[in-house]
Amino acid sequence: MLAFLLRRFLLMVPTMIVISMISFVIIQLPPGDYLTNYVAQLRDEGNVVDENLLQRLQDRYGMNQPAYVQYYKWISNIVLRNDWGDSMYYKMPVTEVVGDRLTLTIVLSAATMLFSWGIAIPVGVYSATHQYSIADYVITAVNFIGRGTPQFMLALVVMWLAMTQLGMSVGGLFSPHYIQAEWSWAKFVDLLKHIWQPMLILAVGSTASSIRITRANLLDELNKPYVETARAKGLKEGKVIWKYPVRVAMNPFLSTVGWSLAQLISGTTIVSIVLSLQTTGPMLYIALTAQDMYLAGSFVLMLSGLTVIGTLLSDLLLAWVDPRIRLG
Amino acid sequence: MKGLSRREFLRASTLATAATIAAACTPSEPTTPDVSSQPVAAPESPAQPAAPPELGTGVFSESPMLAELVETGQLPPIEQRLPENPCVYEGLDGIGNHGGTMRRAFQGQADTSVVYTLLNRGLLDVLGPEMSIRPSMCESWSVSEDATTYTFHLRKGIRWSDGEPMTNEDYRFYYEDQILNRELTGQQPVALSYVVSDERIPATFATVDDWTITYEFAGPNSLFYLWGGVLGGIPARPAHYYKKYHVEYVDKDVLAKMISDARVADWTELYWDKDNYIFNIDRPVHYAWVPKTRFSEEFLVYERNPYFWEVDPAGKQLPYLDKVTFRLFADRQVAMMWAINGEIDCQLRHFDLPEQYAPLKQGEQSGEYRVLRWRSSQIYGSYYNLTAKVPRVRELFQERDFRIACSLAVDRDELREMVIEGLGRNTQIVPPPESPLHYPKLANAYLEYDPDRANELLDNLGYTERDSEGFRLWKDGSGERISFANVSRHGAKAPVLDLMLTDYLEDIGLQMVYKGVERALTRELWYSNETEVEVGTNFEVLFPLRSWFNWVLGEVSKRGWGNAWGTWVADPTDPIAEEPPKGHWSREIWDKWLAIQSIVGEEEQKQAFWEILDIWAEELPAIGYFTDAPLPVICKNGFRGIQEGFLSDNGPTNYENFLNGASWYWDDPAKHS
Repeated sequence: MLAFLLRRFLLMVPTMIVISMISFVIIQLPPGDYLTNYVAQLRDEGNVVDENLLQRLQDRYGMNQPAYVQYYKWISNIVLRNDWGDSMYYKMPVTEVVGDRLTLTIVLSAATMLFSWGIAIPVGVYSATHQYSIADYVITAVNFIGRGTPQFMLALVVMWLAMTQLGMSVGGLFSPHYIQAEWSWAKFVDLLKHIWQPMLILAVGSTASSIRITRANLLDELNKPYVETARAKGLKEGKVIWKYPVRVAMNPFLSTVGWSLAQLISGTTIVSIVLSLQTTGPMLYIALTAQDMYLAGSFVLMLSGLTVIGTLLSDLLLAWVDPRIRLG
Repeated sequence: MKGLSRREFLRASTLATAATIAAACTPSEPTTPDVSSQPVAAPESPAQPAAPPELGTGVFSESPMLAELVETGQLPPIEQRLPENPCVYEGLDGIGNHGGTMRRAFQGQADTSVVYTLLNRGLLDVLGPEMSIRPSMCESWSVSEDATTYTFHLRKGIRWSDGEPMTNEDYRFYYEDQILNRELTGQQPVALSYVVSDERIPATFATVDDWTITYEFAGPNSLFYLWGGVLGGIPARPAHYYKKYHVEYVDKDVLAKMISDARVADWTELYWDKDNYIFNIDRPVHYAWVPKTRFSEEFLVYERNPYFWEVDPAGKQLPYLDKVTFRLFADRQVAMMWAINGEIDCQLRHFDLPEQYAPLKQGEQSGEYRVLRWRSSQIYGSYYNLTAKVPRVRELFQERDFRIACSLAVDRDELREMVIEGLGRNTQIVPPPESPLHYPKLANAYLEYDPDRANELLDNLGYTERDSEGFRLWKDGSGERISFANVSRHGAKAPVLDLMLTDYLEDIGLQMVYKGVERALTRELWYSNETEVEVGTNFEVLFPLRSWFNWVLGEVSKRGWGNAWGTWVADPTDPIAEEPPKGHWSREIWDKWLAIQSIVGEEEQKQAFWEILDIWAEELPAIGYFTDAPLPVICKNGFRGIQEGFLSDNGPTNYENFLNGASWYWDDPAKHS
């Protein structure tokens, strides 16, 4: 076990190095850079660009230097000085930009994840145990609709309904006067009033796949002889289902839970953009389209690091839960 | 389990879905908004503003928000905050009420214009519905006979937003310590110099007395007032604030500490960071509203400037509105929802696409707002790169008859019908009728739809052979059809305009291929002279002497119809630069333009500029289609100061500038705080 852990940790270092190089290269790949993008945008809007400003920005962000010099500067700052750089777009340090959005992202992602698992697993189990019943068919139909509807469209529809039927102010997680206000009970209530929109939209999509997976896996297990034996031996039905087959059906969840760590801090992009949520998803999207090297690169590096750690964690978790799996 | 079998379930659900789709696809009655196709005439301009009340007679009044602060001693009384002779402005809807908030929306960090266009004021401003250039922050100004010396009389007693007096020291600091400092400002800006061949001779700044400044040029510079940073901006900075970050005024060690604290490379970076007032909200400014939140926040709040230097004819200190707020959105649909829900008080930006007009109009009742119809000054046109890389393309584009044919081949009425519901009017690329420099000969050149004549012109040029699909062939004997690429920043989905133009060109035997690319890529292609055609709009046409690049080469990537030539004029050493042939008409345009900068007198300048437009009418370097597209301005019920029917341009003639946002107010401010 210890050897396994040690090996995994050692492997992480070259993995991260390769990831950092690849992400740096890919972010730089589109033609131009942050500045040409910025200039193009200004010109499109009819603004005259000050030639001195361009030169200043170029010098400041070292745009003229070769790629490997830029890469070296960036990575050495991170590793040696814990300086993740400044975002050119937000004109703030990257850590500040990410930090501002992190709490909200984690809260939203965690809530959505728990909500969707909390629904998906019991419903999936019910669906499997009551296969071909009316309830099963209804659940299946809703699943497919949820899976098939594009999330952004669902988001727009939910927002429209909230606005016209419930008279709410949509977009963002707070009403305008609460955005700047200090935390209070009223602000928390306002948050609850708004947070059901993204949670509902996200849950519709993700529960669908979880339910299907649970259902399929459980159906496989339920036909196995040990289930029959347990029943024959007089074990209560509930215990038969929940204590044994469900545990096995949980395997795929646990093996992907590692990625949830990264998912937790990156949130969802499309729905967040449509709903104008201040989470890290839209931030990454904007950083990539604007070619804001430091913000995009540093954040991608953070996500990769978390994914690598998360994968290790889920491997350990799987080994703990499923005695058939032995590591090392 | 007994009951529905899988097959039956599938059958039933398929039928149900098919029925739903069929129902959804049935077209509903289209609700067309009631719009006429004639542009709405601009309303009459208001009467001349009355003279301001005498200082000290106590007839200045301020917003209750500020009066409170004066009571508690946090602010000096209004007579001490206003200059001796404040600027007087009467808004479109007359004397207004103090108080209230205006709510707006913005799209993210790149959307700085949303603040700048509302706030920008300068020594001179374009003010009033007649769009004249008036002294704003300065009391008066004059130009010497030979246009070498400009004199500005500043308003005595005017102050920055932190209460410190604004003096000619602020102007001197800006020019001598910022502009002339080569570390801060790499190159002497053209506008503040006199250009002789390649050399830029800097202007000389001088103070005549405490409240009078002059700029003197080595030679005549008759257009300085348009681009010298005095129109819509001030060539000044709060010296008392900036000196804290300037290497010549601060102790080296103190500066070094500030630099390391701010994690910047050197003092110039620190200086520029402090200069950016939407991020550095401590910086004193001269605008009507002062930022209270950094631009990187989700919700921006701007509050009134207690030292704002403008009043209305009744002595009320402007602005009327106490606050302006901006709410962040990522997707335009959300902004639309806010508008329809009545959460936007007055805005044009981000609601200006033709397809947004109908939904906005529909929501007028429930959202309690009205959609005012303005007109956009943007002229849609095609820009053929006369200096295209491929020799046969270049040869074709440089033929005047080719360009004329391309203009005659387009049915502009039909184009307007498809793109802007038949509104607007046909035009070439020319200053609009609202500008004194409007030139009808160019405006109406080759506007008629005459594909037969177009075909005839192309035949006369020698491109008579056609292939099996009717496309003309190149003259070089290769047997290939004439084809050129239209590079568009609109991406994969071609806009209707581009698609229709492709069709019109096909009718005369030319193939224009649509190539949608990402915006940054379009710039790269222009800079390497890879583009052949670009279809798009231009901007800022109301003051052609300010936006001369629409008609005169000299700045690449601004819709270049002579890309390589323009680059050569700006920088002959650039790899794509190419000298225009001797005696070519583009040289004539450039020479005439240079001459204008030395001509004094509006009438003479107009005549000279018309000579340039005359060359355009003859040669048609770029082709215009139409203008006056409808622009919806959302205006909540009870919000005053904006009316319908004006032309919205860019730069200082932006609607917020010439209608002066400071003069907008609520009928009932208490309801909108």
